[in-house]
Amino acid sequence: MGEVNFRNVMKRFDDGTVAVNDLNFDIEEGEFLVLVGPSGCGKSTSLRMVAGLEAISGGEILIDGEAVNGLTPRERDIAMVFQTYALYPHMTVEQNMGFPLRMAGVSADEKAKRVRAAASVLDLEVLLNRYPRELSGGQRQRVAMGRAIVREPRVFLMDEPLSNLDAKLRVQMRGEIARLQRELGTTTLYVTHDQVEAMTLGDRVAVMHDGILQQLAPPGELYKSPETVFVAGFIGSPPMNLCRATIVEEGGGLAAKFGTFSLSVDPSSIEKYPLVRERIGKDVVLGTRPECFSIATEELPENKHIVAKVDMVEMLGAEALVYLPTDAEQIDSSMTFGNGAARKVASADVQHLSLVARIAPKTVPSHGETVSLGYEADSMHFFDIETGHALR
Amino acid sequence: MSVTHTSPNTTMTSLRRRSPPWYRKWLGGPLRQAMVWLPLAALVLWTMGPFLISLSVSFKQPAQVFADPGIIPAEPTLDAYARVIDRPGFQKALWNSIVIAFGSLILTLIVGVPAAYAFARFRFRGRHLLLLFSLLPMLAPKVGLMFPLFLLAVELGAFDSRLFLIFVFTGMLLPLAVWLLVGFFQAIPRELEEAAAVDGATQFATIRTVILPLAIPALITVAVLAFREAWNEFELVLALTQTADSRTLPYELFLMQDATGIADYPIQNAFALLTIVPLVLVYLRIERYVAEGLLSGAVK
Amino acid sequence: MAEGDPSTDMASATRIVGWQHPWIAYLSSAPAMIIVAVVLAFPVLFAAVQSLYDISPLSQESPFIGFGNYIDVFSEPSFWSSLWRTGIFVFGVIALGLTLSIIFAFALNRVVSGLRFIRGLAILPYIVSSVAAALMFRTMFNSEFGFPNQVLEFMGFGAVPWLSNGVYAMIVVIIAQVWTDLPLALLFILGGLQTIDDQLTEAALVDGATGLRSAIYISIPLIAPQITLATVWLSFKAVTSLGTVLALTGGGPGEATQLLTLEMVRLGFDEYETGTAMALVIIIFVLNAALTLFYLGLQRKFGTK
Repeated sequence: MGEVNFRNVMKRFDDGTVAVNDLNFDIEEGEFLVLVGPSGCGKSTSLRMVAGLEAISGGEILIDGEAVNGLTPRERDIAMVFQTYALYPHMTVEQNMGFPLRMAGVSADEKAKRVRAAASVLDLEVLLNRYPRELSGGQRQRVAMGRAIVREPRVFLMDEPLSNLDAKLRVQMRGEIARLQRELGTTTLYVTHDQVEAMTLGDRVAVMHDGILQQLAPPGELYKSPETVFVAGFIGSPPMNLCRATIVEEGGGLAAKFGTFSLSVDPSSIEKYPLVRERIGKDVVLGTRPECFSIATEELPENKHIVAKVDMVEMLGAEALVYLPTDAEQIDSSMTFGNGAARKVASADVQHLSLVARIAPKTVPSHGETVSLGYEADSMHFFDIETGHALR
Repeated sequence: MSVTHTSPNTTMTSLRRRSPPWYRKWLGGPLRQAMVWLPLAALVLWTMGPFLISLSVSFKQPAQVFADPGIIPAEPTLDAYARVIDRPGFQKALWNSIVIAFGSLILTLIVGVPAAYAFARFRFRGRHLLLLFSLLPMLAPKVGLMFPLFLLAVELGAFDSRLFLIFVFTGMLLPLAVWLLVGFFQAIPRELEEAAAVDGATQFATIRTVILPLAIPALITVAVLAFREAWNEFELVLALTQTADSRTLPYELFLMQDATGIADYPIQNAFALLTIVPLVLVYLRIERYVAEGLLSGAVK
Repeated sequence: MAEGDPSTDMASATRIVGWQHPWIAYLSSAPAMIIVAVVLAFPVLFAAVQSLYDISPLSQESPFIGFGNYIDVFSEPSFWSSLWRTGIFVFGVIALGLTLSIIFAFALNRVVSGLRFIRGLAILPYIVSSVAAALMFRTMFNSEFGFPNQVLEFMGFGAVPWLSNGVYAMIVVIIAQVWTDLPLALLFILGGLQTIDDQLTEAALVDGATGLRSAIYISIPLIAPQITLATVWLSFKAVTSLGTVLALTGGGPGEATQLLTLEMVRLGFDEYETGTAMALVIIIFVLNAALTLFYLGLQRKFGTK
């Protein structure tokens, strides 16, 4: 019970904007799947189409093999937690939580029993006679969760349920949601714009951008092998350094030249991105993780390190972020790739990459110092500069 | 903190402490007080004066009105009230007023709520046009409608009928009612409705269990305005009724002026006050709604 | 929902699947539409059409005569005299009504919360029917025992024949009309005053403006829209006033308070001159609309936006 399939799902609003385009993926039974992306990427719309709060313009959504396109929310047997919680202000906590059961025609005894059970799971027993306005933000959030679990639906839908909480409470509730979902084993589709939430909660994470699914994978894989420039730029904090680079042959191997810098490409990276071999003499998008840089303590061969002057240092305690100006062209991961518009930016508009390196605090250089940075050779990422897709 | 006695130096200090500025003292001065209290006293006198005089006269005997013109009656009596209540015309008119006012109130809500909900939540072809159509007549003055409605009533055989009056009063208040309710329904967060939908409620159940309970303040406002409209309306009753079977209190009061011959002031004022009392009783409990409803309704 | 998602920037229309059947919307708005059409829209159109026909009780036929009824109305001296009286009446109501509502609103705006009930009192006349109000004013302005005359006599003046003298009767009618319609005008202006930032008036005080000056130069220009609204309201009610005058003076003494509306009643209900009465109805409509546009024009010209 609780399998959800998106089949070529499309959403076009009345004003003609396409919010979701050709969405295809499956949520397995009992899975916790997180839809993540920047605001306006279509993730909320996708969730609302599952709920039946938004009509599906094209394609099909199936729940347990049945197309639900024409079904009202009532007929879909789902539960949803809203960003604003959407608690009924004129009902007590007990009445709020009992509302789905009341609508399902459950008997009063049974209803009271199930509400109490849900309340005890969520630690809400003492609040049952309160009204929503008498609750704190965290309590309201729990009531909203309670209202969702009380009816034992096929699917939980959660639309940014934590974004109205302060940072500390958010972390706490995040843990609670994860625990609850594990215990109940109910299929869950969770929407957020927060990549940390996505990475910590999801069995799998679906990254969306511009109404298109960029990649659907377990969190570790998203980080290790991003499928598109967008995912590369979106997952990870601070984000990956993305710049235009030219692939050149050098000393029997390959090297990526970006601006005045050059780093040799390790065979293991070529193995991960085999298409790089076909791009010799051509431009690609090069991605480097800030945490893969380190201050070189010994003399490194050319092509194994870059030398630059430190522009700014942010000391974060356990680590430090070092910013180094480069003359390589920065690639904006949030732009739209693949619509045929060749990436030929007028030279005046070129943004230069300010390379970020995340290094141990012991070796932090000071502002204005020239440093030599080594890079873990096997963790370079390459993307097609036209389509934004990984070169594999 | 007084500023006048302090040296310039301490004045600076007190300014830094954000003490009341120098003109505050002047603001609280006697002149200022008078400028506030005098108009307030005038307002109370202006509003309550006619009521008090009317009340005073209603506690007198007809002859006393001239003999004892003081505000406080020398020999107060409830005689005028007894005579009003004894009049069959009053009893009938009171009953008619009650029937028609409650009828209009109920019909206005029954008809207005679904229409307002449709305008607030549905998007259908011609929505704006229809909404405009239902609001624009708010601008039509009632006097202008008297005569055409009279002819219509005669044509329909509905002249001198309480039902037709209910129908007409409902029509008079619907634009305002729809206007108020549309605004109120639109202000109810859409998420609440969506939450109800995913919680398994049908559209009708959502309206019944979520929307309407939340709209109670607006419903009360509309009910009060509808009741007042029907209770107080005079011109249209004048145009649309003829016999005691359907005329309401204001018309009966108007007719009594002539019927009492040499003006029987106590009975007239007792009558007038009796027609006002029910509304005052309702009004005192929900003045807030009335004031808000009046303001948001703007016209009428 | 993330802010900025297209799904959030919608108006309040529901988009829930299966809840958008247009026929439900049509069906649920239909009764209201029908009642409004029959009770409000139809009479207006009906009056407009009828005003173009010669309808009188004497003849069976009612031929189309174009603007004949209007020409009849305009050629009646009684029309022009009642129009003139309506003009005086409307002007008097606006002058007295605006003055009082502005003064009272300024006073109420300064009231501490403990005296909020005064606002409640101020709205009381709103719930009094026009006939009851007229009766109360008849009692009050009785020339023998009425309160104003008692005060005048106490001060050594002679009794004023309030209701038997044409000029005084007009004054009484104006006062009664203002009394019934003041609450809303007052609420409009009070609402406007409450939106004014206190810092503005305090700044004016610092700049040396006294209370009265600050009211005239700062507050009143800022609430020009609300004053316009109050004017429109008072004017609308005065132009279409019938019950108050009918019950208070019946148009008398003589014809001193015979307003256009009373003229319409006389033509339609006493003389059965349907066509002419309808023409008068339309004239009252047009007069109302023209006056409203006039006030709005005034505000655009002199008011601040």
